[in-house]
Amino acid sequence: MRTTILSLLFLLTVSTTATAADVLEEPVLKNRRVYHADRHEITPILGFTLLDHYQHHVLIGVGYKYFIFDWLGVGAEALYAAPLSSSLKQDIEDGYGTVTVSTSKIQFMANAILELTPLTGKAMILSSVPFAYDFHVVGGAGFVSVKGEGSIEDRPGFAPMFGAGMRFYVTPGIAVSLEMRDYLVNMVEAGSIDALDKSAAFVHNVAFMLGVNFFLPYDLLTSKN
Amino acid sequence: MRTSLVLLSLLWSCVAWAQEERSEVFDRIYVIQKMETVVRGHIEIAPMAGYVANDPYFHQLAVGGNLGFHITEEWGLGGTFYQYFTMRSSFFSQVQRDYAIYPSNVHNEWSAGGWLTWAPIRGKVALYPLAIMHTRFYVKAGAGVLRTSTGLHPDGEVGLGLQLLAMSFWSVVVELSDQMYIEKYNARDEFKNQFLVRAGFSFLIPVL
Repeated sequence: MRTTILSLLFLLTVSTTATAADVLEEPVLKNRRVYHADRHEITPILGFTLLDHYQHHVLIGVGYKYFIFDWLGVGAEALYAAPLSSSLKQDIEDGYGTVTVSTSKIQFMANAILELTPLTGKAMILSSVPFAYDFHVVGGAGFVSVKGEGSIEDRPGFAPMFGAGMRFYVTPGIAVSLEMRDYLVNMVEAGSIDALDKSAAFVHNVAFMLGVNFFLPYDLLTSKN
Repeated sequence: MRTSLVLLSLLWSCVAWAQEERSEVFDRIYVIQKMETVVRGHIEIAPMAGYVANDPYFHQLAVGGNLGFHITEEWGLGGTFYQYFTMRSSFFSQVQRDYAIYPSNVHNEWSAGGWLTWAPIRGKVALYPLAIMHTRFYVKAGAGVLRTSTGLHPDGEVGLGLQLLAMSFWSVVVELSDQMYIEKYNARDEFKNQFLVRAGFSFLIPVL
């Protein structure tokens, strides 16, 4: 009898603590919507460089990524760059009148890209319109074609890139991405008034990138846990 | 026999109770959780550091912070003060060497003012599978004074911010701001936009 009661008390204790432990071991999200894993992303891109000294660039191109996991994607992008003179360049040329500031202009970039997406979430606009979003970081490297003016030589080369951004999901298969990226390009930024040769150095080309992401397959999956 | 039946029914009721408790716990987990009051009625103390991103001639680091009060979940107001630490950039001397141009030696010294914030977008973000954190996206507008090396100038500021609440009493804050003022050079007055990137921590103290 005593053995039976002790066994029963033991069973009661184990069953309730096991239930509490089960809850604590559960992930913070159940039946999570999977926004990235096993999906292809095609993105038309528009960007423009900021904080340039002599030459701004408008960047137009297209990117592709495949997400191996929900937090990891790999892909590539190709960008055409259209140059725009900066206000400093204009002021120098206007001030001298007879001087043209020789600069390097980025023509084309092609990069391999890796994306890490550690944070995904949901939010409400004015407590009424829900949407999903994520934070991600990107890194990559590739080829860049740089054309020189005047005494500056053309310089094709290798260009690493890193950046971070956010993606806002308009529908399950379409999102808008906003990113800040830094393309490190080995180039001579500008010549000098006495046209002396200048050595090339890695120049930060910080760019704001706007993209519209199209995901295939269109519909979202749900996680199994 | 009677004793065994009593014990069996006790055991059965315990198992049933455990199942009911588990069901009740999961019934309270929604896809989008009920919105919690995270900042309303709180004083916010936010030490922050910033950098003037669009000055090619000077590296300008701002150290200071915000002190404010959140009236509602959406609206907050407060004050700010930043001390600037500046250093000439390499481009300052490069443009002198290359084109015999001598940039104005004008830089920030300190700024102070008031601000109002509005957070129309609030939500959550998952650091899966570890944690869920509250987020607030807000717009900010303010006015105050900016002291530069040429004197004291009234200024206005507009910006965007992101607050990530790691715990109920502290968060990580990132702001992008445009600080506007009229700089008085020797030759002319010029309207200037300074783009600042600021980041820091904020501590929330409940008072209501």
